[in-house]
Amino acid sequence: MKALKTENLTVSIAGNKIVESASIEIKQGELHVLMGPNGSGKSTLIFGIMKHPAYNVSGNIFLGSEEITHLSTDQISRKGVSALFQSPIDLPGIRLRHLLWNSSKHRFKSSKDFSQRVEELLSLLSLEKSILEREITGFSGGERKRIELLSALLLDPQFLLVDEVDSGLDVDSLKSVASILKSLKKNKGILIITHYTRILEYLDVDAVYLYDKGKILKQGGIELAGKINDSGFEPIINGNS
Amino acid sequence: MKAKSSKKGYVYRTPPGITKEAVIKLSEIKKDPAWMRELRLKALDAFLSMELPSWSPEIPIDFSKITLFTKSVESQQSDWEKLPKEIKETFDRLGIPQAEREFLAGSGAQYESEVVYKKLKEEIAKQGVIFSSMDEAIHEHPETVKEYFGRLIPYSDNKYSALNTAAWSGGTFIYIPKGVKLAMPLQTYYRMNFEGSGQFERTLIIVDEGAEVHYVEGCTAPLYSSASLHAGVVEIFAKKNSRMRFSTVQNWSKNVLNLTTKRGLAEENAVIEWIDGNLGSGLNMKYPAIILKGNNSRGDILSITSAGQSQNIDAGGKVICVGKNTSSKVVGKGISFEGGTHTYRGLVKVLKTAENSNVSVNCDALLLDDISKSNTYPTNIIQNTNSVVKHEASVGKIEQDKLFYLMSKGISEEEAKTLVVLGFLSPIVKELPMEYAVELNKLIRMQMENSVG
Repeated sequence: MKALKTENLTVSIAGNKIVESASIEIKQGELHVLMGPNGSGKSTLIFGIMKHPAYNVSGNIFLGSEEITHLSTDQISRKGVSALFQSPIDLPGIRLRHLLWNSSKHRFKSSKDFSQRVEELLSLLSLEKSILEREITGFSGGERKRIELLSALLLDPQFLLVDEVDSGLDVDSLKSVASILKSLKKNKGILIITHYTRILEYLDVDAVYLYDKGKILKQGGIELAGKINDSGFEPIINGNS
Repeated sequence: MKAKSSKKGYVYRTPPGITKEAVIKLSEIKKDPAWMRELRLKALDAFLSMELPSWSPEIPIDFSKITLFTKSVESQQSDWEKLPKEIKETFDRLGIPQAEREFLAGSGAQYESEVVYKKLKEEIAKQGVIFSSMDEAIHEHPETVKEYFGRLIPYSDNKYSALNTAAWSGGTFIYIPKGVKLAMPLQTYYRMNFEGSGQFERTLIIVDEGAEVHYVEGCTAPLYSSASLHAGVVEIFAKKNSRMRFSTVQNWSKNVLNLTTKRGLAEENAVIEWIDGNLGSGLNMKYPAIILKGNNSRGDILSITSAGQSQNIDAGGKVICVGKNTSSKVVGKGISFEGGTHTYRGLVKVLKTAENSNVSVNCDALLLDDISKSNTYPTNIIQNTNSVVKHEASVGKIEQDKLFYLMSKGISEEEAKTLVVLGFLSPIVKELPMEYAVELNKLIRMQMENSVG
């Protein structure tokens, strides 16, 4: 099984370090959770791994034995690392079907195979087929999260970086999204970023990181998430400082 | 492929230069009625005495080298072979049938749409619709042509309308009788076979009271012209309660200067819409205009501009509100890349009489690199106090966040840029009939591929 590994990953913008020397390693078949308060730089970690052009990235990123630090965003994606963003951007004028097709056409023999797979995923995610013909703007928060998941599943990546997929979902949607993520764990490595422990109830977690001000402060098992849930972030973060 | 055509080639041809002799010869070839011949000569005098507009970009042309009219009676297969490679490749990639390609290449081959066209013509003729070339119309419907020709765009309007009036040949004549509403768009495409898009096309459209029509001019495929100057004139008369939509996608080859005057007159409660795509030519100057003469009339201008390497695409629109409660929406969307320049140039004029009128102008530009340019020159003149004119303009680059998001889905940077551009233009592209929208998107995609490849 392959691992996605960062070594001393530092991500900065305009000279400010948002992520400092983060080292994590996730193997396929593992699900890790990164927890931290608002503004702690969690999302930037994903931007860094995916090489958002606005950020400066130093340190090393490996996919298995291959270093991917210097690859571009699209190359990283095609190597098998996908991200589900917290607030995916609107793309008015581009229909969802068009985006999905452009993103995944290389994986299908024909447009018929593509359509078939998309329809399976739509039904898995309780989305209407008509959503494909809509432009990517004006979706509800819940629709947007499920569309993100759909587009990632179409690519069938080896690693999935999931940013706050649980925010803005009602209980039923949360359960169904969590159960999908849980089933994906079989052959993928998953990193979940969240504020809340609620989604963790439905997942099978292998590691938890406590993260603040760009640094991984503590690493542990699910019991660390339990502590955070009981006392909040502050006492644990301060206890470390 | 071997060239088979003879060297004899052109049978009808005016002497070179824009001269009285040439205009008289043209008038003879066309068998003009006397009034048209006189009008041509008056227009020629006006053309020769008029200055170039002071605000215009430099127009690199030697008028002494212009031939007003040439017509070949022989097939010109050799023209096809002389065609630049890039144009041939574009035809290949668009999947255009050979017969049509040769037409598009200006080699005068007959396109096999005759059957379709004949059927359409029979159908609409039953309703009294006239859809023909201007050359035919002047002989078959002389009174109507004489009544309307040049009434909206007189030869004295500008130097190029003067040139067109003196030298016109080809173009389209449409008359829609009272109350006739055509569900299907009329397309030049159907009548390509008997008169191609000439250098100095002249189009006249009269939509009678309560009638409705959508006319689609030209085609999105690249139109190769060996002539370097295209100066067309389009006049639209939309009578009371009528509705006229005029869609064009201009995709001339880059050696062409496209200096075209288009104007529509909307009577009471009438609606005129210009959907205007400007992709081709080296220099384009085209600003479709609407005069909202009647009370409650409406006019919209939606324009797309794409300026690539060595292109200067100047486009926009003009709205003149005269009647009460008139309204208008002008939307311009332009992209520039590979050092191309695109300009939005617009005029909104609300006259004192145009009480309670409402005009909104919205122009957005997208620059794809640091070497391309975008200009905006809006002019708004409001002569009463109870009308509203809104103007919004934006110039931007492709947002980094959009590219990143698309690339994170495995889409290459080039493809991501193309998607963002297509999305940007989409509000206007989707106003076009389906097949044109699809082709336009293909063309933009190809232009972008060429620019990054």
